[in-house]
Amino acid sequence: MLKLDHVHVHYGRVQVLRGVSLEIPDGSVVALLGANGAGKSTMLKAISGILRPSRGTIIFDGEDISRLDSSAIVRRGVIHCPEGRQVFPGLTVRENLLLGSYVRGNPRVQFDRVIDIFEALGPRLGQLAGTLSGGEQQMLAIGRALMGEPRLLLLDEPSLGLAPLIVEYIFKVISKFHEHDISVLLVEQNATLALEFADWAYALSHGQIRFSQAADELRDSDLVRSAYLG
Amino acid sequence: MPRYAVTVPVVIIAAVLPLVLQLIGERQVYWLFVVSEFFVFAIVAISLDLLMGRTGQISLGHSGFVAVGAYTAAILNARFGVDLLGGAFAGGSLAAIASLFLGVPATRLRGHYLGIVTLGFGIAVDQIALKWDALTGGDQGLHLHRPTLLGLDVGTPVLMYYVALIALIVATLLVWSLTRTRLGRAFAAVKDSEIAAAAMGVPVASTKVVAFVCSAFLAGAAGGIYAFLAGFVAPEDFGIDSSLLFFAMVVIGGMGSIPGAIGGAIIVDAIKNAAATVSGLSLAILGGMIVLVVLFFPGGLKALLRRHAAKRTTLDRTRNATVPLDA
Repeated sequence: MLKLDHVHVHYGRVQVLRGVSLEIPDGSVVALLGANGAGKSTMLKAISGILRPSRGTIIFDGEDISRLDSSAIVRRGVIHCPEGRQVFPGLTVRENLLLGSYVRGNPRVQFDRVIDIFEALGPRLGQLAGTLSGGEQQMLAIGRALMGEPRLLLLDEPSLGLAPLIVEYIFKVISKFHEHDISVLLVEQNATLALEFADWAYALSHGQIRFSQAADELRDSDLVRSAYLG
Repeated sequence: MPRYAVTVPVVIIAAVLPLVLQLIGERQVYWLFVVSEFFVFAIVAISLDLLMGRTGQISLGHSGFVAVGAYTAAILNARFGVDLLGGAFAGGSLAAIASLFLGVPATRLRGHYLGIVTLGFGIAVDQIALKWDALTGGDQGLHLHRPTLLGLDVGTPVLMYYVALIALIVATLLVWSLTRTRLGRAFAAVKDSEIAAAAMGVPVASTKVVAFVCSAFLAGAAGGIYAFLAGFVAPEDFGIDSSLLFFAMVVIGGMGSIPGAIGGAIIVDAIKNAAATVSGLSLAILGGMIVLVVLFFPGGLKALLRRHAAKRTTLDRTRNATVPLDA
C-alpha cells in the first residue's frame, strides 16, 4: 500500500532522514520505533506532505506522492494524526471533527461513525476542545483523523502523557481499524505497547532504519530489545 | 444570557439615536457624523479581526486598504458619478486585488512577514495618494458629489447615519456567517495549529491569502463608504496613525470576537475624539493601553466580559448548591 524508497529529508541544512526505505502492506499495523530525535515524526511529516523529501520516492497505491502537497495527499486517504494531539483548542469538538472532513463532501455518515467509536465525545460536541482532558483530546485527534476517511492512518505517539487505562482503550480502538480497511503506521516510544498491537516493526535511529522484523518475533528477542528499544 | 439579549437593545438604541439627538438639538450634525464615522471604523475593526483574531495573521497597515477603497470610490464618483453602493463595491474590490498582490508572496512565508509587508504598504499608500495628484488631487484631496444610493438621495446627515449603521450590520452578519462555514473553520484551524490544519488537508498558505483578501475587501468597502460620509478624501486621513488605531481596536477589544472588535472600536474612537485637541495625545494613550492590555488582559475586552459572566454563573451555582459551603 505504502512504500518509501531511499527517502532523505532535510530541515534547512540539517539532514534528519538518510535514505529510509519502508513498506506497509494493506490492512496491517506497522510500528516505527526509536529514541527521541531518531526522525520518526519527520518520517510521518514527509509521508503526509507537511515536509518535502529532498530525495527518494514515496509510493502510495502505485502513485508517487512525494511531490504532492498535503491536501492532495489527504484526499488520497493518507491522514496524519500529529504528535501532541494538536486539536484546535479554540474550536468546539464538533468543529474539530468537521475540519477532519475538510477534503470530503458530506461528513454526516462519518461523523456518526466516529461518535459511535468514541462515545465519550458525544456529550462534549459543543465544548471547546481546549477544555477537554488529555485522553479526550487524544480521542478527538484520532476521531478527527478518521473523519478524513483514511486508508492509511499515521499515528504519532498516541499514548503520550495519558493514563494507562486510557492508553489501553485507545489501542483497543486502533487494533480494530483493520476491520475497516485502515492500515496504520504507528510511531511509539513505548515499544512494548507498540509491539503488542503491531504486525511488523521498524527501528529507526539517527535517520536510518536499523532493522525490521515481525512484531511477535521482536517481542521475544531480548537482545534486540535491550540494544535498540530500551 | 442569549446573544440577542444584548444585540437587539444595542441595535434599537443605534436606530433611535438620531431622534434623541434631534430632541437634544445641540450640535446634532456633529454628533451624527461622529457616530456614523464610528460605524465605518467598526467595519474596519471587524475586517481586521477576521484576519488577526480568526486567522492569526497580522496587518499593521489596514488603513492602506481603507485608503484604496476611499480613493477608488471618490475618483469613480467625482469623474463618473458612481453611487455609494457602486463606490463601496469597487473600493472593496480594488483593495482585495491589492491584498492579493501583497498576500500571495507574504503568506507563503511563515511568521509575521505579513505584518511587515502590510506596514510597508500602509506607509506607501498615503504617500502615493499625496504625490500622484493627477489622480488623487494630492494634498488638496478630492471632493465627492452629494451621495446617492440606488437613485435615492442620501445626502443628509441622518440618512448617511442609517446607511453607515446598515453597512455595519451587514458587515457583522457577513463575517458572523463566514466564521460558521467550512472556510471559516479553516481560518480558525490555521490560527490554532498550522501543522494540524495541513494534516487535515487545509491548504494553509492559500487559506491565509483568502482570509487576507476577505479582510481587505471589507476594509476597502468601508473606505468607500467613508469617502461618501466625509464627502472629501485627503491623504492625512489614512496614514500609519490610523492603521495603528485599527490595530488598537482589535487588540483592546480582544481578538476573535465581533462584539469585542466593536467594543474596541468604541473605546479607541472615543479616546481619539476626546483627545483630538492635543496632537499625538490619543496615540500616546492608546499605545499605553495596548501595553497594559497585552500584559494584564491578553484576552482584551471580550475576555473581561466573559470572565464577569462566568463569575456570575459560578456564584449562582454556589448559592443554589444543596450542600452548605461550610460543611
